[in-house]
Amino acid sequence: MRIGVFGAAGATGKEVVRRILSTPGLVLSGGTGRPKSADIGKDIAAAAGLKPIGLPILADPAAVFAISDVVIDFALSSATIQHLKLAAKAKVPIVLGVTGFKAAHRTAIAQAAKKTAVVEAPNTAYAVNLAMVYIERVARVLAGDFDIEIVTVGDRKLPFAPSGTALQLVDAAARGLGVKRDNALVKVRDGDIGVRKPTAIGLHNIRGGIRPGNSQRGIFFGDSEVIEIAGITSSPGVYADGAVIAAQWVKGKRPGHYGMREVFDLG
Amino acid sequence: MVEKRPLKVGVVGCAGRMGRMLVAEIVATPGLALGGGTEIAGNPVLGSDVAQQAGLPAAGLVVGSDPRALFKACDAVVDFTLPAATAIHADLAAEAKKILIAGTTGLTPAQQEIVTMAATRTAIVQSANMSVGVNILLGLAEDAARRLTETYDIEIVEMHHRHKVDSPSGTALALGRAAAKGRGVDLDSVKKIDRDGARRTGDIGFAVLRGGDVAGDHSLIFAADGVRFELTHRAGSRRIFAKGAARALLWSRGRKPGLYSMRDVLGLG
Ligand SMILES: NC(=O)c1ccc[n+]([C@@H]2O[C@H](COP(=O)([O-])OP(=O)(O)OC[C@H]3O[C@@H](n4cnc5c(N)ncnc54)[C@H](OP(=O)(O)O)[C@@H]3O)[C@@H](O)[C@H]2O)c1
Repeated sequence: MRIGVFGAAGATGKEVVRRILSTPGLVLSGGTGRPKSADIGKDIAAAAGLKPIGLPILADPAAVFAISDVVIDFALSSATIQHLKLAAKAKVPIVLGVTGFKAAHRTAIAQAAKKTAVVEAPNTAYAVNLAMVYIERVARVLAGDFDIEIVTVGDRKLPFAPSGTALQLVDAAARGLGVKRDNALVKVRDGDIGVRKPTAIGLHNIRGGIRPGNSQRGIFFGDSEVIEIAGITSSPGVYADGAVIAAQWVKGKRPGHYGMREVFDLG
Repeated sequence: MVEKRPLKVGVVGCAGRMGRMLVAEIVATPGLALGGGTEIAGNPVLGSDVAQQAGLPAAGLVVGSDPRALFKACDAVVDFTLPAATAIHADLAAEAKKILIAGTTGLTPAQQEIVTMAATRTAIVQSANMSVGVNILLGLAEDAARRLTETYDIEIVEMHHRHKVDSPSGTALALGRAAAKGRGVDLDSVKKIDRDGARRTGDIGFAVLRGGDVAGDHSLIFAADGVRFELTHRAGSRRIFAKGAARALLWSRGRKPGLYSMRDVLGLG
């Protein structure tokens, strides 16, 4: 199975390259970097700290689609819409590890998903996806009795908030409570905020440090007791593992919009 | 909609620490009504008001010493007493066909057999820890241990007040058993409670902290390279057991005879 990697010289992309090269049965077909960057033309394995394999990092994503069965995208969101269009045209499944999507990205995903399989995976770590499933389950059991707050910790360099993962956690809690995200989500508490609504879902985005260990936590506050469910990641290799599993899973899937929950069969 | 008449609940051992909390919880819970309370003969509280002795306004119910009469007067009885008493109460519940919520711990096999037999004739909810949160954690612990592969090491951290005599806590051991079950191993063969050296592959390690007046914190940690998954419960007070009992009472209304657990009550399967 031939896998291409977008953003191959990035922090996560490099880990994906290493995983593909060390997994029997997988072939690294090619990869891209930011056009005009110094990474273009560098050997893709050498950029990941391995022995060169004679495969240069390209600037043209279409060329990578042409030689891949699946592509994993850990470039930046500014390139995602173009990548989705090319995936649809080439009818090659794509795993979107990249995050920071806006409304235009949503439309592009929906469009591309008519022609090819798209896995939207703002967090590819198994432990974090398990946390989401549990948050939904516990929210359903405790609805009304416990207050749910979501707390995420991320690197100081994360340039936007909330993260895609944080919103996924909120959505999981909202599904469990049987409410809509927009009616439940509380992002700011400042001033005369009044009494907390039982259906509120508070979201807190902590930022700091360099690789502090990203944590995604759902906290359920009851009367005299607290439950916490947390997935904590401290190395990009964990995301790469999940992305490669997603690539293997999505090969041969019908066009459609998929998520890591389906990839990991988390019900 | 026709409002259902509240479930009338009696509390055996109503003057004990848990008993008084249960009385207060029943009075505070919509759908439940206090039906009476008992204490053993000779207890100075006999004859006083059940609610008043629990620090509430009088309810016009006198603390009695005859549990049979209590079962007769109520729809359900809550029992956080002693093993020998609980076995007797289970028989009375079966005889009167009334619901029993049993939170007593430490039953002998013979006493447990009496409870199990009684449950063929009436609905009994029995749990060594009635807290909603702890039971949720136990359910998730087993499922997580089944899903997270052997690349994850399992460790348990617990903290309790400085006066606690047993260690690790019963709940920590229950968490360990749930995780071991998920892994398909026997806790006794992997339990490590006195680590003083390197970790052995497959161990479930326990770290026990004691200090202050902590009511009870438990964390189950799954740790692999670059990733951790954590389930934590923190108890603020013993009130959580009374809250759980109230939840069990509301759930048990109209149930067929059977021995149920908090997992059934919470619908955790
Ligand atoms: N799904 C998950 O589990 C997960 C995990 C970690 C990260 N992420 C997300 O993945 C993305 C990358 O994260 P990261 O930490 O690896 O960041 P990073 O180190 O900045 O990697 C991004 C790489 O993509 C390159 N790039 C930029 N524009 C490109 C283009 N048009 N075509 C191809 N490559 C391009 C960048 O090059 P320059 O440096 O030259 O601009 C950089 O090498 C982010 O959106 C992040 O939030 C997701």
